[in-house]
Amino acid sequence: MRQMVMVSDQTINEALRLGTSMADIELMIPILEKYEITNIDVSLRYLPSDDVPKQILLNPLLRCKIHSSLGEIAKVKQMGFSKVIVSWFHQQSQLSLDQLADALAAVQEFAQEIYLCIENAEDLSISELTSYWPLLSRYRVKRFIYQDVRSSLEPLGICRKLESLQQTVPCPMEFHGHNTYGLATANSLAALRSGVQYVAVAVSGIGSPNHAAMEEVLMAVKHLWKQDQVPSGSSLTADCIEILSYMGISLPVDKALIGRDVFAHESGIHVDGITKNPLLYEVIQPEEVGQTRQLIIGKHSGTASLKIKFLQWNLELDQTEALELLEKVRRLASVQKRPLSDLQLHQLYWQRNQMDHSQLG
Amino acid sequence: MDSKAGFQLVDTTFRDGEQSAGVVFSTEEKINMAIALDRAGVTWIEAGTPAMGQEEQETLRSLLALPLRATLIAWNRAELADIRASLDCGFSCIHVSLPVSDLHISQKLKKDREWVIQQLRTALQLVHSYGCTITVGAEDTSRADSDFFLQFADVAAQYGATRIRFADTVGCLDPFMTFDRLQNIVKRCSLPIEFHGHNDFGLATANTLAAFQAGVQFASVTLAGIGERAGNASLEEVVASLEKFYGYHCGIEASHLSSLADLVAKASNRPLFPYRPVVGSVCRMTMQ
Repeated sequence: MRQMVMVSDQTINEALRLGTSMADIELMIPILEKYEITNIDVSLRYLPSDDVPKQILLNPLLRCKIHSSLGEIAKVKQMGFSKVIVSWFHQQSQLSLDQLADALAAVQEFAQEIYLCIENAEDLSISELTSYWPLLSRYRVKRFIYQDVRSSLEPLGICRKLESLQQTVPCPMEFHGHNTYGLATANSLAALRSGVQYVAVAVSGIGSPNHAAMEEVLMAVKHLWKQDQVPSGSSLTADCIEILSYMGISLPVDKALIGRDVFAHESGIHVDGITKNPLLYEVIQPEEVGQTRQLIIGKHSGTASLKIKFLQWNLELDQTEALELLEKVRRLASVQKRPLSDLQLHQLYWQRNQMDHSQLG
Repeated sequence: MDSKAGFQLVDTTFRDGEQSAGVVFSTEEKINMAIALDRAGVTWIEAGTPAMGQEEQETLRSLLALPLRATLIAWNRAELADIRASLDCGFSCIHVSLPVSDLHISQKLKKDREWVIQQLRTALQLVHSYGCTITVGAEDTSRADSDFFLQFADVAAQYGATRIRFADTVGCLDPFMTFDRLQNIVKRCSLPIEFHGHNDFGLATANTLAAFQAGVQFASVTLAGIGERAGNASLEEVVASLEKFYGYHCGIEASHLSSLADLVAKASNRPLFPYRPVVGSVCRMTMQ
């Protein structure tokens, strides 16, 4: 199975919500474009009313998300957007879809591409969703966006539901998941598996509500599903960190794939394994995502780790030396509640050697 | 479903969690977290690895001395000296781990499957002779031959092991692979299975839920998902998801989740990411 994956970016929208400057947003977009994003979604309500630079507004990837009010439609038209998402919250009490139809008709007058998003699609039965299908054809909607705004879906369920919807939907579908329960990446993979080709993502899963992490979805498809058309991740970590830095966001050290410490190994068993063959404890090579492997010496180190570490400095430890040193390493790491720096390791080593020397003398 | 009625979580914050590079918990922090986990309703706590040395053993003894309802488990390689260290500490629930994938067996241990089985027998014989509760870990099961895993479980069962850990050691499964693989294995396994997921592609929680749906009876989790590399399945996400998606209450109180995550964030000196599921500040806001 050759799984196509196209991603709609939600990172810029969060940058807008956080009030990131337009100058910084202009710097973020080219980095995102390296990952072949198909769209950059921006909510009208987060856009400043005036100072949006023309070069941002004219970016062909930009899609503006609005609600069905005439005021918002007029605004988005005046700003010059040609790709518009009409976002709709389905109410059980709604009597007709006239308001939505009117909005789609008004948008059709000026927009080149119209998208319809049902924010709470997960709450709707198949037949309720099907009632929207005539609108998709009538207004030549480019894609139907199935949003899970309350994170109410889990992967096995969504896969079956989307498979079934795709039997009848008159246009391509897009999945827009959220990550309140930590399932957004898995749900996006489930959508892709069901045949949906477009999924909403944000760098490291940011957003309010949060999203599937771009790096996780792309790299899972590339490495777990072995789909090599996904863009290279060789500068992924630096790119994500740079994008987030414009928003003043720092990544957790254990963020999957791009966190500082996800290729750092401390425990004795792991370091021993990694030295024999990195595949033993790494599912992908760090270089695949632009990282490097690190060997940390700390409380959980073993003698093998110490020997390897000192060998990097051309110092060969025998087993007795390694054991003695290890005890000191563990004690120091426990006391200071963090791993040892190279300097500390050197100090421990030379303290011991001097002692030996004096004993000899 | 009946098979899901007994689904329980095994917290391994102190073992796999603390093994994440750069993290060290003090004895006092471990005591506070153990009490908090116990109060929240966690019934199994993998407390640490006594073979790590005297200092660790002292910490573990102080944990064992706490008046907890939860059972504390000692993690061990299948080495007699390691197991003796656990017995000396006073543990009555002993976990013994060996790799089961050919990759690990040949490249890490430089042995063969036969050796692994023999080593398991030798180790379990010792634990069994002390009348301890036994749990067995099968490292790197996700990349292992299922039949060998089942054979390994059979041997564990002969020595009275109470469950076997299916470890996705490098986090290479997605929920669909997890479900298909486990649905098949659960029916054929002589022991209840504990799924142990890692988060290398951000899928640990989803994989744990898939394992639950496939009928496994236990899952390993850590507070805030702290663990080797990108971490483990997070206790908060699994507990909240089980309730949200399947209406299943695993005995752990959802009202304790935020304070538990805060405790580990402080002890590990890793502030919670605002966008973190369930317990991040942005997430808490949007959940309301």
